[in-house]
Amino acid sequence: MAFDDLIASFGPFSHSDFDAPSWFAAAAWCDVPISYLDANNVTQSHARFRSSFALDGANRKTLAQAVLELRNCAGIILSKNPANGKLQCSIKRGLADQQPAPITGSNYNTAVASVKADGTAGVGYLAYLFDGAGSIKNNTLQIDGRSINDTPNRISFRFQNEDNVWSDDSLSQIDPNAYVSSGNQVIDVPFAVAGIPNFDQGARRANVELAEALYGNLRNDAGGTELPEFDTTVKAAHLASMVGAICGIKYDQLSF
Amino acid sequence: MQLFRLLSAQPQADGESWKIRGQFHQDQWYEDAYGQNPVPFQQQAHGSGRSIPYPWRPGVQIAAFSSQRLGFELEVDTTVYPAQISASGSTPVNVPNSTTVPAVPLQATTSNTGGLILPGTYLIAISANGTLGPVSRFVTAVVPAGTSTNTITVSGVVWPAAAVNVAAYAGPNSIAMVYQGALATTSNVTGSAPDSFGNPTSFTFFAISPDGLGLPDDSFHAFAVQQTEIVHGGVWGAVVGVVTPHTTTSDIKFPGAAWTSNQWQNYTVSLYYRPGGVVQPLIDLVVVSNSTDTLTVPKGVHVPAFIAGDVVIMRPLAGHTSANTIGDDNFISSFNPSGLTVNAEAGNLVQIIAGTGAWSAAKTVASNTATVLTILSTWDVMPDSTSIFIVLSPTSLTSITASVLNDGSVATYGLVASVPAATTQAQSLLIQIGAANAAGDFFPMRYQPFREVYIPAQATASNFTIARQF
Repeated sequence: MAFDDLIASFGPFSHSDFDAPSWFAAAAWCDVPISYLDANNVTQSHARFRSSFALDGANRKTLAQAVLELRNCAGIILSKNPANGKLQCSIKRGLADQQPAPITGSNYNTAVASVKADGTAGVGYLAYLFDGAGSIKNNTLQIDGRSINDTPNRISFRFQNEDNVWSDDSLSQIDPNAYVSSGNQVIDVPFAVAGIPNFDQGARRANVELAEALYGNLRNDAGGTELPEFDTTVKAAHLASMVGAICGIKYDQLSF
Repeated sequence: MQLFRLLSAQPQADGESWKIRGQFHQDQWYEDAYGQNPVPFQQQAHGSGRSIPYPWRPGVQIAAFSSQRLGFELEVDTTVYPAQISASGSTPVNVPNSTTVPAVPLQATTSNTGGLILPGTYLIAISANGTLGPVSRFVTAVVPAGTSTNTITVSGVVWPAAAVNVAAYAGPNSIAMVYQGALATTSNVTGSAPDSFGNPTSFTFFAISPDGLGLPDDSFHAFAVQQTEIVHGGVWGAVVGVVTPHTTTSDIKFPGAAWTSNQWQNYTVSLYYRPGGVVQPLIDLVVVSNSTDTLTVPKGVHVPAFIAGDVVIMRPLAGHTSANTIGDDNFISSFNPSGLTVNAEAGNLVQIIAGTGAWSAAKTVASNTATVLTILSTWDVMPDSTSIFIVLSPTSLTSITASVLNDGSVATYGLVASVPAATTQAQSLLIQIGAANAAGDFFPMRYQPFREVYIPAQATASNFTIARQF
């Protein structure tokens, strides 16, 4: 709701512009209690994602920057609801949690095995399955790597620690595999994030950011995430409002 | 089939074809447990020369009251006027080392067998170069209650380069971290098989030494020496007469005493001053028994513990404690038949220096009877019969030594401070020495090592008399 208030208070939106059910669903996901180990190695429980931040005159930032930082606090995706044009909100998740039901407009309504956030098995549905034998235009598939500036092996940020009387704290997460593969060089990339309230949430966000930057490749190593790009032979208009959705790709020539 | 997360979907000019851009995706990244493992690495937080230095760790095996509290080597030279007080110990390394520290996990794991570590919370730091550092951030280890044979393991240490001399520090909190030794020589900790740099990535601690050198500390700049008048260091003070050593004990006789049998049993008798010698031993011994004028004490590490001419004090044994009082009926004894002067202690400070409540904040005395002190407000930690207390003047004299630059290239042990005694009269002083930064700031003195010493009258150094009441 803090995110909602930020956009409604300072942006060109009113609350009526929001697709309320999607915001409530995202908030409910964030509110789910999860267990974690506190600094004393004691198992505790807290909400999966929370935010705690203050904007003041001494620390001015643009609305775009503030929105980006809060999005990164919980992995928030903003998109337009194609049915009513309203701004919808969702959280980056695995397939089973993010897309648990068949998606209108998809060409592939077969359940795909997945795993849920709590580690249990589940199934999800693809927003679309692109196939090199049909829906991908010939000779258009290219797989790029992320630039060095977009491939950190260490993420660091500061936050106010709710578990330590909201004192200034900081977290630095390094990926040992990426560190070694980069010739033992630390590659820091600023992680624009605000509102992280504790080490656990910070660690989870940092780890996911590192994984998305490093491990999304066909080798499944820390060599950097790969970015498939291609032209379709089909209209995929429903995807225009589904940035952040999970799709599938088959391409026999590349053995996937 | 490979999953990818959609980054953009843009229609081509005719809208019949779309350009899709994504990034490969794996579901397990979004499991809660994936984000929580590995645990995060911490940033450097201490250092940069602007912080308040850690409390001084003299690194000397001198501890008062059965290792409850660190001391330092103390010398008193009464041949000069005024008497000169000198302290020796180890100077903290305060020059940043260019060696890069390893990244360490936030927490360690424990096992309840195989070691000698007691239950409790410990902090651990890995040094890239022995006592010179720099050291990693602190790893927290919580050893659960149950056994006293625990070990602690720190895994997942990532080194950026070959370390000069891998070593470890550990302690119960960040202001009491103690050097545990270099991996090559200590038996307290072992390392795993080396990584590509030859450094271990996992450390297992079997024991943790409670005393030794402190952390390298680039905030350290000089020493602060604080002298406070001790109004009462015990229930009485006296000069030791004849000492008769036995196999395991010594009898020390006090001329003029008229005690009841075993009046001082289980009390602690402490040395305050030894004339004729410059270095002052630190001796605190529990009385085994007593007769009319003789105490029987263990020999202790010194043989015999006390010698004729020593100035000693008898610590109080807190028999009266409540939320705001502490006292001992033996303030009234043959040496002090009237006990404390009623309300004469009002405005002074009472400081517990050993036992329960030791070195919690000193409290101001509101009033007193002949045997009991009543403080303003209440105790931070409720004292009990183990609590040994002293009464202090409310004012102190603090002096800062010249700056000290120690890069560890030479032996660090030696004279750290030498100041004139803050009295020319026969008087007991509490000497506390802390590590200060360039601004003269230091951790509160109650966290720093201390010594108590009696300074004889200065007019004729060889002919002093001492008050019975300390």
